[in-house]
Order: sequence, then structure tokens, then C-alpha cells
Amino acid sequence: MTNDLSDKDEVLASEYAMGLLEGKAKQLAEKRFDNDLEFRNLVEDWQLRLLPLLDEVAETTPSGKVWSAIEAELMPPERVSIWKNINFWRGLSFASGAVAVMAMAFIINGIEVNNGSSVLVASLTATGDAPAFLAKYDTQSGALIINAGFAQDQAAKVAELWLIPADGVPRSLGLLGADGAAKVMVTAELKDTFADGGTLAVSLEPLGGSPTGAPTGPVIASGKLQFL
Amino acid sequence: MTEQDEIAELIARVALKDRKAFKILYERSKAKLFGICLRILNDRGDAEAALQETYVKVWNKAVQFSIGKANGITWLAAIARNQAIDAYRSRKPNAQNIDNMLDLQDGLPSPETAAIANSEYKRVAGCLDELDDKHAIVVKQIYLNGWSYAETAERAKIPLNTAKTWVRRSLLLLKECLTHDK
Repeated sequence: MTNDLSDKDEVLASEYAMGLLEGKAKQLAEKRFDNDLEFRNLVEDWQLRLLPLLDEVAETTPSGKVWSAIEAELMPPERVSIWKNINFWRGLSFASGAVAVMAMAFIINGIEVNNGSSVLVASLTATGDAPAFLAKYDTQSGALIINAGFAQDQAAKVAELWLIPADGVPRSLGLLGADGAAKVMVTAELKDTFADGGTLAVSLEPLGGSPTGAPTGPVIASGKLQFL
Repeated sequence: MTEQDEIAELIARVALKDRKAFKILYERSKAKLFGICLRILNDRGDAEAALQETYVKVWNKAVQFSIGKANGITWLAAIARNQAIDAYRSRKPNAQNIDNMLDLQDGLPSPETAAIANSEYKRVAGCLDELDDKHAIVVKQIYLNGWSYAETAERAKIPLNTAKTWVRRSLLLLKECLTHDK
């Protein structure tokens, strides 16, 4: 166990998490936090350790003008969300396979594409053009996130997400929310079938999901999982 | 799904520039984060400015949040604390209202804090209790009120190096206590 003032990184991480660093030392620690995973883990451990103390701080409601100011700063009304921007999707569909996957990876993953070896992505398309859903699956944590490219309006139905592994038998991964998004933790048993990819599909099912355990409604989108 | 998972999921959606998710995230977390800023800055106007900047960073930096590993609230709280501490430190010392100054006594547990039921809080508070009283107060003032080493030295009337030693030793003891206690 490292419990000694000579463990410089441990001390530095605790000071960074406490907010004690200033000036140059703070800048250097920030840079390490962004680029050095080991250091980042130490800092995050400290943040997690100290977090319960914040229960002492009384929750207080800020005035409504704060949200207005945030909105005005970040979201000028004329700007269209990337998800609703048809041209963006058209552009993406023109890009060749690998380029499209990289573009998706960038959107889904932002700058965190560096540990790509454990991350699978899929673009689920309906008719071969614009992606209807984007999914990202982290093989290490088992977390699978899916987001809809377009607003869903299927009020009497729900969208259900399926994994179709090599054996071709669909396994349900759960229902998507009304907004077409979901985060699923993939079970250990299913994880193996994800190991070398597979296909994700979304079908429309009666409210409550497929009554039979297999897709019963139309498949509205599907796509292969690929490594980044 | 736990509340923490929900916050993490919302951040992941904000990373995809989902405005609806951002609004929900704001509504769910604003009171907690505003409390954090207000405690450090002790001024509603300054705390609201810090809160605004906090959420601008959340929107812009959400892609850096790695789902599955970090805890959503921890990530948000770190951004809010950072923002508020920067604002607090950039104030001119003489601009601080002397009535708002706290002294060491303010770090002692109040009846309200004694009543916090959360078991995670009790674990940390229990470990802080094992430290020397003054050391525990200093750790809390730094974490909750944004004291720097220099301010700690001044308020506790100790040399700067002593302040550093108190804090570093206390944090490592705290870690040891929390690790053993699991």
C-alpha cells in the first residue's frame, strides 16, 4: 500500500483533487490529468473518496436567469442540433465505410478514441442512407450506449434493441426510451458473443416489448458492430 | 437504475450535443452544484456566474467524461469546485467582506451536519474524526470552502510548510482509514 509522503503522485493527485494547486503546478497537473491515465485514476479516486463530504453543503436553487444565460451562450436558437441536421447525415452517408466509422467515432467518443481497441461502434441504418441510430459498446465495461439520429414518433409502439451474434439468433438488449436512446449494461454471458462483433438491430414492438422474446415487429434499422 | 447512473447517462448524451438531455442534467444537478459554488464564494451573484461557467464547461467537455468508469456527480462536482475556487482565488483579498470570513471554529460539526444520514458521509466523517481536530477542520475548510495552503496558514496561524504537512499527512491518513474500513 502506498501510504507515505514520498509517493509524489499520490500527494499531487490528492492536492489536485482538493483544489490546492495553483499557477504553474496546477497547469502541469491539469495536463497530466488529461494525458496520463494512471494519474487521472489517482485523482478520480480522490474525488470519489472526498465526494460524500459535499453532503454537508446545503443544496440551493439558483435563479432562473442562470439557465437563460447558459442557453444564450451555448445554444443560439438558429443553430440546429447535429442530430436533426439532415445534411450532416447525408454527408456522412457519402463518406466511405472507414471514414464514416471514424467520423462516428469522433462524434460518439470525442477525443477519447485513443483506447479504441476495446470500443465497438455501429451505425444502424434503415434504408442504407442516413444512420438512424448510433451505438457505442465498450467491451471492457460492458456498457452499450445507443442514440437515435432522428426523433422517434411511434407512440403506440416501443423500439427494442437486439443483438444478433454469429449464430443468427437475436438476443434482446432491452427497450429504447421514447427519445430513441438507451444505455445497457451487457451481461457477462452475452459479452462473449460480442467479442468479435455482431449486428445490432432495432425493431418496433408492442408496448412493453416483444411478447415472445424474439423480434415480432418490423426491423427499422440495423448495423454491424465494428472496432474503431 | 441508480441516480448516479442516470447522471452518467445524461452526460453521455450531452456529449452527443443532446440539448434535451442537457436541460434535464441541469435541472437534476443545479441545486447541488449551486450549493457547492455558494459555499465557496459566499455571494449569490458570484456563485451564479460560477454556476453558469460550470455548465458551459459541462457542455463543452462532456466528451471527455468516460462512461462506465467515472461517477457522474463526482465529475460535475469537480468542475463546479474548480470553477468556484478559481473565482474565489482571483478575488483581491481586501475585496472579501470581513463579515463573511470564517474562522477555524466554523469547521466544527454543527447539529445539521451531525444529522446527515448518508452512510458514505458517515464513513468519511468517522475517518475525519480520527484525525487531530484542527487537521480535520483544515481539510474540510479546504475541500468545502476552497482554502488555499496560504489561506490555511494564515487562518490557522501556522507556517506555510506546516500547513502543507498537516494537509498531506491528514489526506493520507484519511485514505488509509477509508481503505481499511471497507
